[in-house]
Amino acid sequence: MDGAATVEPLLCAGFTCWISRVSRSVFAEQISSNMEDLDWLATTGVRHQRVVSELVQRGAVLPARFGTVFHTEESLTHNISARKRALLKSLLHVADADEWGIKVFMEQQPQPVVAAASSGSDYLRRKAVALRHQVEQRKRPRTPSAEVQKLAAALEQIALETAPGGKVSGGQAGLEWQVSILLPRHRQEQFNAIIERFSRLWQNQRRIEFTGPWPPYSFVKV
Amino acid sequence: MKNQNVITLAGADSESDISLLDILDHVLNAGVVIQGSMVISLAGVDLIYLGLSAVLTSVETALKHVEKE
Repeated sequence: MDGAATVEPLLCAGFTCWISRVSRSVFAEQISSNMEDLDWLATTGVRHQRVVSELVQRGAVLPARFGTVFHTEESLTHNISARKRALLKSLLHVADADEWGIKVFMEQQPQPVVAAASSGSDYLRRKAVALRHQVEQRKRPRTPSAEVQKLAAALEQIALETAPGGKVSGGQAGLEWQVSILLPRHRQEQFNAIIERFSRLWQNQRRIEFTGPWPPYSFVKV
Repeated sequence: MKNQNVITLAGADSESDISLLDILDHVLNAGVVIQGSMVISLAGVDLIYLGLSAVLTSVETALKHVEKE
């Protein structure tokens, strides 16, 4: 995870744990301040994603929460054996399923035309109008519109489970709704059909973006 | 390393930026664990959210200025 140490398997309590040896100060003592360092977070987050998505190709994997650190191999083994039953249940739940992220964006409304300002105060007034317009565009309805709820219902029918979307991209302009779903692999075609149907239905009004397949990050509860 | 993770972004304006946001979205969605599974810090994630949206806003603002020129 630090970009230098390899990721190695460790057998514990019947599971294979994939671990990487990292500095205690960077990943435990200073993790909070490192999490606020966007460069560190981006680099380490992408590394985490690469490792986990590689492992997922070899079989069912329960991704540990980002930043999970055990001080010793013994404390890891102890923790795994204590949670063995719950881990197995969770592993079976996510096996043969992928996480997908779905976002619905409002299509941009036409921007007010800005003519050349005739004076300084005129410029400021126009600027205020433009800013207010931007702020309004950013405001999202608290409850999704009836249209979006139809998409949500369709996705819920084919998903094993759904989870609210992540917080990181919540500030994206025009984002109306987002969700993560745990989709059984055999329902991939149904998923594609739903996205296609709603994209066609919402032409020029809303845009659907979807990403995946992701490891089941949002659906590990142990 | 082979990256199997297909990222589909229909009509995305800035693919690389959004991909990074999406990666962090999913990677951090379950929260962050510090020292074993004892402490779950969601506060840290909220700070990141603020930081990233501030970055996005400044990028957007910069782009708007360029467009006007």
